[in-house]
Amino acid sequence: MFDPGLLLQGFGQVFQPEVFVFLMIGTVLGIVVGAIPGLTATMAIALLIPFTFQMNPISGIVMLLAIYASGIYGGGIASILIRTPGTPAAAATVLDGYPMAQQGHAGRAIGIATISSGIGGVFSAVCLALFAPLLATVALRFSAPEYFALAVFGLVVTMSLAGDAPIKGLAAALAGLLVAMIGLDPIGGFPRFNFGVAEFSGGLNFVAVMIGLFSLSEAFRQLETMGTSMPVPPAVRNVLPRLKEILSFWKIYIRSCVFGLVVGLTPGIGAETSSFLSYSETRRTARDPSRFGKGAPEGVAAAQSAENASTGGDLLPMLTLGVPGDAATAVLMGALTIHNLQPGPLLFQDRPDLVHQIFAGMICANVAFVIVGLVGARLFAFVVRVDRRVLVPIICLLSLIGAYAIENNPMDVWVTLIFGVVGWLMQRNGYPVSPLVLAVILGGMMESNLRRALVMGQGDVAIFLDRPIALAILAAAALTFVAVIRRMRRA
Amino acid sequence: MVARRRAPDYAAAGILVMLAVVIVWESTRWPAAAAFAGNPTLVPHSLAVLMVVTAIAIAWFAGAGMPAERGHAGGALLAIGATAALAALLPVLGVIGAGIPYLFALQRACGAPGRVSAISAFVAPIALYAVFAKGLNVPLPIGSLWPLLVN
Repeated sequence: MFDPGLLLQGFGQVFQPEVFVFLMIGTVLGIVVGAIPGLTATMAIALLIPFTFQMNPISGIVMLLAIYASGIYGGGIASILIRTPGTPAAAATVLDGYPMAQQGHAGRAIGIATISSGIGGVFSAVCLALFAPLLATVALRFSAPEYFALAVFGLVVTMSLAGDAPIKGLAAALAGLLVAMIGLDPIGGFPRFNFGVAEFSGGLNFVAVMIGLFSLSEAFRQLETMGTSMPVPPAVRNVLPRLKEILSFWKIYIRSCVFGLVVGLTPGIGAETSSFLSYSETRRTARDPSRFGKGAPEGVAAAQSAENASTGGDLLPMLTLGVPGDAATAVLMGALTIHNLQPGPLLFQDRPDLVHQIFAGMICANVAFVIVGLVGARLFAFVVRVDRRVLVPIICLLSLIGAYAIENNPMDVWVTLIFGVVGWLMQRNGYPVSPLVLAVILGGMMESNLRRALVMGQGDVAIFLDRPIALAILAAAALTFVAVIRRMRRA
Repeated sequence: MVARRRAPDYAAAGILVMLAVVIVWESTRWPAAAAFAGNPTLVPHSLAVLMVVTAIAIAWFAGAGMPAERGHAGGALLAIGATAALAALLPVLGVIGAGIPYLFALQRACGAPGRVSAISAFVAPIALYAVFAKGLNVPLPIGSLWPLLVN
């Protein structure tokens, strides 16, 4: 259960000098990465996981959470200043943020975006702290059939990550399942799919795979589309918004926070969906919808608050069930496992102190980027001008160094490079990489729990019919599959 | 034009079928199913079947959907080649020894100004090494060549 005392202790831990320093470093890094078009919070988290090995777990995890929360927010800065979303989630912010900047209100737009993101983020982090322990308590009753059903549901939903081409998402997920099988059979313990390479007997290093797919492949993509012209952002003045204006958005914030949380909870969709959903609903219900798209501050508030409100919802299934909701939380899950913390209900039972420290860290991360974002707005405005011809090669170098640092194994460097090329080729041809990564995570869970369930049922698949929760989840997966295929046929 | 858009999907379908064949072929070398609780080939074989079905669907709908945004592959291919060279040289020359020429070459190839490239290519690997190897105690490759040269 949620324990206020443990949460207070968690805040105390986060404000320990060592943890607090990494919280602030993560916040600044997240805003910088988010503000640079083409670089995402997921990429930054994947890149920095190896460098948290030597930190105490809570310092490393709080730093990565800060990168996650502030990276989602930071994407709005580039949207407002140069009409290019810093992250995919910030695309809705462009619609009114950029016109505001063109009218000489760049500072005001950034201020509203910062406060709105903070409100959405703190709301979702508090909801995470309140509801995650409840869900974990329910999940403690889950057994192999339910976990198998959850994994299947997660995999089906990942198909939707491919937009109007879910078959391509399915293909990526199937390839991910094969990658997950490399190593040892989960029950028999014999090696499989290692093709005679001794280093692969324990399976591919998951962090090396993630760095390749999210960081190196994105760098290759940037090198492919890189131009030589530098965007010139407008001047940023008067960043601090008026309290009266912020308070006037209260209805928007309530709606956006609920949208964000619900969308975040739904596996496979994340911040970009919630921000567009909230933006369009705010425009639809506005007294004068014609103002939207021409510099309406409400549009910026709706998009940014919903964007960050989805972060807590995204984290919830990952922490409580071990099923990541999107690519960023999949990478965060990898970070937790690196620190010997297996997300799932047992984590809440065995390490309630640490779980509450994570909640406290998430709440503080959302407050931290508001303060840092408002104070450093003028500096971050320069970040969007960074020369990517210099930066992207450094990211390539950092990717390889990060891969090497995982276990000091040169083989991991090659794994990262191979998956970097695979990810680049996939994105180049319209195949999403996120389903592949989610399948790598869920593959092991799916296979081992299916086989355990069949052993429990003495080989009879009817065991899934006898367990109502597992059956309900599998039915939801089937309905989702049908819905995705129907959407594809309509498209 | 349509044929060009379909070609990657046909290639993806071919790769999926190939992977399915590899899965089935590999599973023939595993210990007998009866030796374990649960059939070890159940999931791999199901995966192989799904791969073939998906490959057929991809080939059937080849070229459907929005075309992916593409630039000139040359820059990326150059980076892949340079990064492969870096991966090979990293254990020998270390982060600093391999990183400086790698960064300088790649930044210049991307069109970055010479002076900026020279400074950042020199500073970045040293700074990364200092921060991570010395500051955070994360072991990074120093290179097998340097101890030999020193001794």
